[in-house]
Amino acid sequence: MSKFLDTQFSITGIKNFDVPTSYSKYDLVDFEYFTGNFKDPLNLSGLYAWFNLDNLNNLEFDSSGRVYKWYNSAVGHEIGEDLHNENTVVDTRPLYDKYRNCITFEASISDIPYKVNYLSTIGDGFNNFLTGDRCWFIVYEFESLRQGDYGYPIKPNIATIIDTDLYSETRYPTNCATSGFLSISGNNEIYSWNTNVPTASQQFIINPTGQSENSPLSVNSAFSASRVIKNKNIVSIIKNNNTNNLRLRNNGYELLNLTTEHFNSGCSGLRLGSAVNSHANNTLNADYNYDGSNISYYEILGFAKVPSDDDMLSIEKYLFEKHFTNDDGLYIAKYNFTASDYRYAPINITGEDYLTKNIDSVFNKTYGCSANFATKAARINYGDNYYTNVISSINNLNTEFNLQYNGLTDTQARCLIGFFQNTFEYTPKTIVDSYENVNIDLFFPYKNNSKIYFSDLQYNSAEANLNSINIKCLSAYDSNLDYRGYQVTGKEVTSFFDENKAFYKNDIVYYKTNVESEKGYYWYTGIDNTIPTHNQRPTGNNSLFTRSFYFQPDLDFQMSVSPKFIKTEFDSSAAAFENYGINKTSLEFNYNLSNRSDKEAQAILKFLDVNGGFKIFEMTLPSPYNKKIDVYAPEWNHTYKFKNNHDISIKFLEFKGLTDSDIFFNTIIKL
Amino acid sequence: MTKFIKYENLDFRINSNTFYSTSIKISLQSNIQPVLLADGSLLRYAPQETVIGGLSIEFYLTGSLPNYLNVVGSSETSVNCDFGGITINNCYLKSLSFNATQFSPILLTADFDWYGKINNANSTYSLSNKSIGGPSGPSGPVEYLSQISHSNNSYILDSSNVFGFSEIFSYSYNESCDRVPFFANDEIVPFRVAKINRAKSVSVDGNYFKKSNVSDIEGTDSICDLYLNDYNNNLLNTFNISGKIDARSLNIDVNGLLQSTLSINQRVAPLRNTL
Repeated sequence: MSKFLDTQFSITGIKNFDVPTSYSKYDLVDFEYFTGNFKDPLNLSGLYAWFNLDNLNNLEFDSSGRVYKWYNSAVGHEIGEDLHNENTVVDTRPLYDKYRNCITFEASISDIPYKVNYLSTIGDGFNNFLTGDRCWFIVYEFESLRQGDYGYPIKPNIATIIDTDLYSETRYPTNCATSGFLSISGNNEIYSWNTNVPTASQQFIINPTGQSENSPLSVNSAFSASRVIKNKNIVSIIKNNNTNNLRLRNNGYELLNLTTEHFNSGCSGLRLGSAVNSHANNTLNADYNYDGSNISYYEILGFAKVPSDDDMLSIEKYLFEKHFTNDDGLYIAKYNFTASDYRYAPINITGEDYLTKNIDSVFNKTYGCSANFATKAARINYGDNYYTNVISSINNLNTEFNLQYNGLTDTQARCLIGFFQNTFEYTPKTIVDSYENVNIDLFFPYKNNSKIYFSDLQYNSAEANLNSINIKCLSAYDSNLDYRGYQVTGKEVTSFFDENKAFYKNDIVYYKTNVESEKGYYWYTGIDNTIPTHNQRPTGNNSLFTRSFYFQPDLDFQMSVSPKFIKTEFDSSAAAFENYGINKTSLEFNYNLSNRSDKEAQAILKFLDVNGGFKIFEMTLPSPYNKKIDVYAPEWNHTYKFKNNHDISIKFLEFKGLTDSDIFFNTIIKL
Repeated sequence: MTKFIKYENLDFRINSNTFYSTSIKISLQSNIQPVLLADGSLLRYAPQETVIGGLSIEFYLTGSLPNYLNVVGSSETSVNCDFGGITINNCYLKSLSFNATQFSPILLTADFDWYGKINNANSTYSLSNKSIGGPSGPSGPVEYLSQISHSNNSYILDSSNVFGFSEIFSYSYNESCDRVPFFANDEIVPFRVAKINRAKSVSVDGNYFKKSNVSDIEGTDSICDLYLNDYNNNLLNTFNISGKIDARSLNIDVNGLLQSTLSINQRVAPLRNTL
């Protein structure tokens, strides 16, 4: 573990990821892609191809915004060694994805003949590759793999990663044994012939002539160590042209190391997105039809040499550090296991099963979790107890969640403390972002997969090997401008009103209507299992639905009345008391709603969530007051006490000036 | 007329081991609280905690004491109990005790908390002594009542020689802990039932104690071993306690019998792991 990391932790015992090493469940494992320092590609001789997106000037866009040129950043390269697409059919050109900083190539099977995007070198491409050693490092990601029915029973599509064998069309299909082609075959979650590899692992195809899956050519026997769909990964191809040694590596794990003529002399071009040899042509061996799928490229490096192992690791490290933000760092061991090789790295499929950053998969949140909400609305006061709430941003609610982790063993407590502290180590994905948030499932009835930031941790020791931890966390990026709401957004609380549905008390519906003032959420207050009539619908004359706060507080509630008055007092005189305006009393009170069921708690919290801490709504005060008033709820908190048992407390402030009651007076007011 | 169902020759099993039990008691307790609203109406009865069951058994030990009946050990795992056609899967041991008096079989009592459901299970209704084996040991079926725990050859050894009795009439042993359940959100069956307040205690009845320095404010150190044997002097289990004598009494009853009692208590304090 690096010294920088170690200084950030209050616990000890963090292990480095290494192979072969054994780990125990709840071990904290510091994963770095490889030890040592990365090497800038410019510092390694033989650089001929370097396609990166460090600068948008590396791309040329056509008038439709598509990319028709990706400049080679290798020093001294020729024009033909850039990647081009001068095809007059512009939708064969890829697109630049500014959010992911990659170039995306699409393949459309629905078009006949189907369309693929591509970029390729011109002419003989890389002249120095015609006869010499070579290696490629590619950072790519498949969005999806085109499924095909190209054989019996279902032969998935073969999807190109790179084709370096552009100008040897005559070889195909008779002399493919020397082709410089790398692709992925199918998706073995649907179609699998190799049960020895994890599902989601994809077969790498170098020789696309289509051998039987049950006895593939040795160059086609490798399965990816990492997920290739919706997941960045690095593939490295190292070819010694003298010994014909070919090595294929994926995310640090060596998949192949054998002698073969593939990627041999003549494989001197580069084509991305699809293969060139009319492979998409159905007349050519359609059973093994291979070409493009939806693929994105982040960076590609080519060297005219066989790098040393150290150089190879340095370049892989360089790509990893650059493109795998926050994939390194601290992981939690989910099980006892031995990392026998780099398939167990957490960025690979096997490693995902054993190492995780998802604490929901390792720790149980326990009863006692709570949430506190407070509005950031600015209150502007006028005379006579009138005021308005001004919302200064789309995120007007401050939300703090307290996550309770009870019943932890010493080992678990150490692990959770370490994980907590490590979240402050995350790096931002872009220079203007905050450091990366934690994805976590909150608790009922709040969002799953919420993006939060940890802020405080409170540790308590109850006994040897019995501990509890409370983590405070903040929600930063949720906005209640979303019609679904702010934090209470589940399907059961965002459904549209259905006039054929039977309703139960505290059901929540979203009522769509052209009348803007009547649009929104309503709460059902009738008896259970009722299909409302037309008049009982949310805007009906005898509606069983309401937008008022109809929930009752506990029997033991308090409410103080503190009318305003003006008291003028000098040092040497008795105080003088004067009337204060027309709205002397503006109530400020709290409701406690204890021991409420899941359903009622969800309805209450959704009500507060919808009103966002500043919107005005009606409520009828309990006896002996019994008056209907307008209020807003700037603060509330909620505790999940036990299953089907919630405590909620809400602060209400009375709002004057909205309803008819303030307009009609029985007394003449003299101002 | 009230009808009672009489259960005879039923097997009681813990983790599939049959115990020579004489009584079994199962109970459960829910923890609910009425919720009253501002208008005076009753909203509901709200659960404050899950339903906690109790299971208490009395049995004669017929073989070595299985590890899962170690109350103060570090293991917190649950056991399965079968009895009278039902199975309870999540039983957590919280106490084990016995009392040895002269010329009597020794009956052990074990108490469990349990969570979750009671399930139906096949049960044997024609059990005989011969089909009851030791719970975990190789002693095989009990063919003779002489193979049950008995005070005839069981004894307590005052290793630190602090009792002061020349004769011991009876003694009892108890080990106990509190079980604290922890629930994941949305769950009513705990993911962990921790042991806290682990303790052992021994009470010894004897004749007049020939000790004078019995009022040490920090108690008197005492280490003793209790050997639980069957009638034929086969060792079934050894219990030990290393604590403090914190109480003594001397009683003379109406028959003029003098009896002295002392109690030893030990708080079992497991160390934290050095991680």
